[in-house]
Amino acid sequence: MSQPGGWPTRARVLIAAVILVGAVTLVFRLPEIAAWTLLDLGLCAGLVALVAIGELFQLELPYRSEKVTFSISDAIWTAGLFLVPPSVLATGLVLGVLVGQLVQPWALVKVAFNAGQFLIGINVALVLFSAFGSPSVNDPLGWLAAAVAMAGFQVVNMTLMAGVISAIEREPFWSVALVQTRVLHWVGNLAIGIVGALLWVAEPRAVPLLAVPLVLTFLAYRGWLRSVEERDAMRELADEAEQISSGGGTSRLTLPPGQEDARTLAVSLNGMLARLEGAFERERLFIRETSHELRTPITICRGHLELLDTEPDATELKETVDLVVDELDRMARIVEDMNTLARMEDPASLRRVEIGVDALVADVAAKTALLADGRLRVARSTSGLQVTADAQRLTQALINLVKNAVQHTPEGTLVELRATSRPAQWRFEVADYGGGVPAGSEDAVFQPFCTGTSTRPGNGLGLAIVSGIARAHGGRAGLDNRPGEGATFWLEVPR
Amino acid sequence: MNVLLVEDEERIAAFMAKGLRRGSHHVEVIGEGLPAVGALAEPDCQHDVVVLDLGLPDIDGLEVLRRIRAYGSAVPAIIVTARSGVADQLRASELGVSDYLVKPFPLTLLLASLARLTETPSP
Repeated sequence: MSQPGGWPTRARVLIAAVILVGAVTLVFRLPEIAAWTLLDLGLCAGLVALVAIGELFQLELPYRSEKVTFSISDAIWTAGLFLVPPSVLATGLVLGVLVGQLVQPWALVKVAFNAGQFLIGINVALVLFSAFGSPSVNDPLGWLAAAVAMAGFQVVNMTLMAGVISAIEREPFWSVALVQTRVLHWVGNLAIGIVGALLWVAEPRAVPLLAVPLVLTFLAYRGWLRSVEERDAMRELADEAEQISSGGGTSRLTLPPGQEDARTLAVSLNGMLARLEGAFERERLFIRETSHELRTPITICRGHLELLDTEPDATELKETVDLVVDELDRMARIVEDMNTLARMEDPASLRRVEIGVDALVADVAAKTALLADGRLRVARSTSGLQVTADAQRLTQALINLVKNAVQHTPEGTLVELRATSRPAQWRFEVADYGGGVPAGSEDAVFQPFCTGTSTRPGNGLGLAIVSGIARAHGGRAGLDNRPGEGATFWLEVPR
Repeated sequence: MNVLLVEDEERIAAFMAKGLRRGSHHVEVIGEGLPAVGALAEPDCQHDVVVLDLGLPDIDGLEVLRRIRAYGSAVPAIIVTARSGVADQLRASELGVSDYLVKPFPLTLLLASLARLTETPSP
C-alpha cells in the first residue's frame, strides 16, 4: 500500500473497523476455545502450520500501487468447514495468517487488516455453512453448502479489500472489485478443499499426494498471473508511448518493475527515443544555424539595395548589382551544400564502384590545382590499389578537405594530400602547416557552420559534408591537431 | 551623433556606415571586439553610441559590452546581429542595451533608434 499518512479518512476508518470487528468475533469464540480438547489444540496447530505455509506461497497481482494477493489458504478453510470445530477453524486461520504474513516485509497495519477481514469472512462462511445444517463432506449437499459458504467468504474479502483500495486510490469501487480472477480463485480453492476433506475422511495417508496437483496448479496459476501482469505492463507501455508520440508528459517510458520482457522492451524503446531525440536536436540546430547563416547575405543585399539612390549613376548601380549577385551566389552555395549534406548521410544514396586510389588522388589534385595555386603536394605510394567507394562523393570530400586547408592557411604554406593503406581501411589525409585549429575545437570543426573565424571564406558546411560522406561509407572523418604547427584532416573508409 | 560601428562583415559595415552618414551621423568602423573595447574604454571617448554586432571574430559582442561596462562606460549600445535567440536578448538587456535589432533589418529602424537616443539623453 502507499504510505498510510496519505490515506483518506474513509480508508482509515474502514481499516480500523475491519480490524476491530475481526478481533470482536475472536473474543466471542473465547468460551469455545477454553473448552478445547487436546485433539482440538493439535488440529489448530496443524491448521496454523498449513495456513502459514500456504501464505508463503502467495501469488500477487499488482493493481496500481496495491497488490491483490491469492493463496491456497481458501482451500484449507473449505476443508476446515467439514473437518474441524468452528472455533478451531477461526483461531487456526487468524494465527496462521499472522504467522505467515508477519514474516513478509509488509506493514503491520496491512497484516492486521488481512487477519481482520479473514476473520469476518470465515465467520460469515461458518454462519452460511451452519444454515445448511453443517452437512458432512460425504454428502453432496455439503459441497453446495461449502460452495455457498466460501462464496460468502469471497464476497466479504472482495468487498472489504476493494473498499479500501478504491478509497486509497480514489477510484470507483466497481472498477477495483471486478478484478476478474476472483471466480477462478473461489472455484479452484473450493474443489481442492472438498477433495482434501474427502481424502482426509477416506484415507488420511493419501492427503500428502494432494501436494502434487497443488504444486502443478500453483505453477500454472502463477504463470497465468504473470502473463496477465506482462499484458498489463505492455498495455501501460503502449499507453505511455501513445502519450509520448502525442507530445504530452515525459519523453521516456517508465520501466515496469519486475517485468523482465517489458523492461527490456522499454529500455530498448527508450534507447531509440534518445537517438531520435538526438537526431531531432541536431536537425533543429542545423535549421537554426542555417537560418543564421543566410541572414548575412540577405542583410547585405537588403542594406545595399535600400541605400541605392533613386537615380543611381552607372558606377554605383554596377557595384550594387555585382555585390547583390555575389551574395545571391553565396546563398545558392549554402542552399546547395545543405541539400548535399542532407543527402550525404544516406548510405543508400551511394553508388559504390572500384576506383584506383592513385587516379582518385590525381583527380582531386587536378580539380583543386587552380585554387591551391601551386601549394598542393601529392604523395602517391599506393601502386595501383583499388578502393570501393562512391567516386563522385569521395572526390567531393577530398576536394573539400584541400579547399579547407588552402583557405585557412597562410599563402605560400604547403598542403599535402596522401592516401595510405591500412589493414581494415583506406585513410586519406590532407596535412597543412597553418598553425592548427584552436585546442578543444577538433570535433566542433566538423559541425555545420562551425567556422572558427567569421572572416574566413566558405560557409562552414564543407567539413560537415566530409564527415557525412565518411559516415555514409561506414567510415569516419577526423583531425590530428598540432597547435602552433598545423593540422592533418583525415577521412577513413573501410576496405 | 558620433557613432562607433563594430561589425566584422565588411559589406554589412559598408552599407550601414553609408546609411548612417546619410543620416548626418559621424561613423567610425571597427571590425573586431578587442580594439572596440580599447576605443570605448578610453577616458576621453568621443563616441555617443556604439552599434555592435555580436558574432565578432575575436571576442563576442556581449563580452565587449560587459568589459566596457566593467570599465564604467555608460555609452548607449544598439545591438545589430543575426542571433535572434531569447537568451542573447535577455543578456543584452541585462547589460543595458538601448535596442536589439535582428538582421536583416530596415536601415530606417537603426536611424530611428539613434533618433530616440538624442531625444532622451542617457543618464
